[in-house]
Amino acid sequence: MSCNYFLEVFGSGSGIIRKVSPDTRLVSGFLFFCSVLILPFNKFFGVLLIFLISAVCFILYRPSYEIVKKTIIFGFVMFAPLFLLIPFITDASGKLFEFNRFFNMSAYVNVLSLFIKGLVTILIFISIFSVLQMSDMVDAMALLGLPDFIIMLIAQIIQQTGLLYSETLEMAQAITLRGSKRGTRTLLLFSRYAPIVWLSRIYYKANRVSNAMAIRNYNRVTILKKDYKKGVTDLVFILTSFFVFAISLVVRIYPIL
Amino acid sequence: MSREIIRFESVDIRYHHTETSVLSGITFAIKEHERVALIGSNGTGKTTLLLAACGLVEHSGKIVFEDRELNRDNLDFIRQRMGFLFSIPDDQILFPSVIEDIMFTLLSRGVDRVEAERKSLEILKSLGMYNYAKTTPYRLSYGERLKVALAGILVGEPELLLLDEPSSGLDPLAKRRLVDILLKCNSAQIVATHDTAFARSLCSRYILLEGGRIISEGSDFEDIDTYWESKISKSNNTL
Repeated sequence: MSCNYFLEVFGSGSGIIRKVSPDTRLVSGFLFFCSVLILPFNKFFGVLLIFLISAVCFILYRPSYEIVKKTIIFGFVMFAPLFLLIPFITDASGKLFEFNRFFNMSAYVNVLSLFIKGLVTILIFISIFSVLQMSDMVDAMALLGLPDFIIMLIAQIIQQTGLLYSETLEMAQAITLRGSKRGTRTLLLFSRYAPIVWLSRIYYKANRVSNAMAIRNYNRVTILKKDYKKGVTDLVFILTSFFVFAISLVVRIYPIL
Repeated sequence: MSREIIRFESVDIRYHHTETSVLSGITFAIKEHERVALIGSNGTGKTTLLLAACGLVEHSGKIVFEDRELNRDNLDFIRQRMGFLFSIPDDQILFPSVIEDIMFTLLSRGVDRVEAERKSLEILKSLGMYNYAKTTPYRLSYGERLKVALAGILVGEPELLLLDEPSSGLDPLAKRRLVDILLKCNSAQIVATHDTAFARSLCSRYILLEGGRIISEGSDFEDIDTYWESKISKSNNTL
């Protein structure tokens, strides 16, 4: 059976932040995430804060080693191709770096900053969801006042994305087993038909899942708001994350820093 | 005398893209607590008939559930009293943890969270799955996922259970256990299968389908064995 990375993320973290209510976890996580997103990588304080926030997040969320490993691999696959863009990066005047494009440090720094920021952002994003079970997610969104149908829609999008991932993985395994490694010709043949086969499999699966949803009254769900007692810890987390976000904004806006 | 749970009266089903009917002239009734096997080879319309019973496939003729004719207005009411086990259990598992998926059945019916959790854990215990409550269903084996899907249905205490090929992909021991679970269940059951041994150990009656029509009904499962034997010998002669 294939391991489902997307669905495994939920609830895999064991950090101290699990002790606060789900909406606090979601809001403070979102603020940490936004902070890293807006911090500039070309300023000393920017870089310092990015690494500080990441370290704090890792301590607070403690995502599992396995998930971190898989996320880093995923991040590499996503962001490593950025290095291929180096020859096409322009300088401040809008011109391409002309001489020794591949040895231009400035271009490397630009891409490297994008690469690290992307990787860190993904890691923080995954960490946030690692301390939320799917039910916590639903509770968090309900406590934040989102409409029921939006909540169920988001929950189902996450669930079905995980299933699509599994389905795709199974197909890839089948393709490998059935000989795509034997030669380019087989590989091309598979590449030609795989999208059609994949789409029809997904279509029929979607059809069956929608039947199951209809029978299980998925459209009739009303989210029951659980009573979470909020304490000083919740307040501390919210205030800290707002403070971090405010600092990040200042670093972003003021050129001296 | 026990009352009828569901009655099919001259039910015809035709898909839009086909000329011929998938099912035609289907007439039979199931009484409460009765377990009926719907037997037939692949493509004879067993699944279609089950889907029609809960209004997922358009039909002509009448399907009556507890004196209410199946139509758009009472579809939700009827579906809440039915449980459907799909042939691929993964399709009906809609949540990333076992307990959440089972609780959903009750939460969607307005049961409060604490009670839903208690009942869900109870049903998991009865199926020997208590330790898997917090597990992601996709980490479980096929047989265990089937039990999760079944738990999600049984927790709602349906009056009618529709089971589509429940024994396929199970080893003999798992099949035996499934039969035991289903025998303990009070609901009326329609079991679509081509596994005669499984049908015999669970059901008191069979309905045999061929080419979208009922060709025989009865309680002597020997007839089914004879039917399959004749089919096999015919197929051997043509080869």
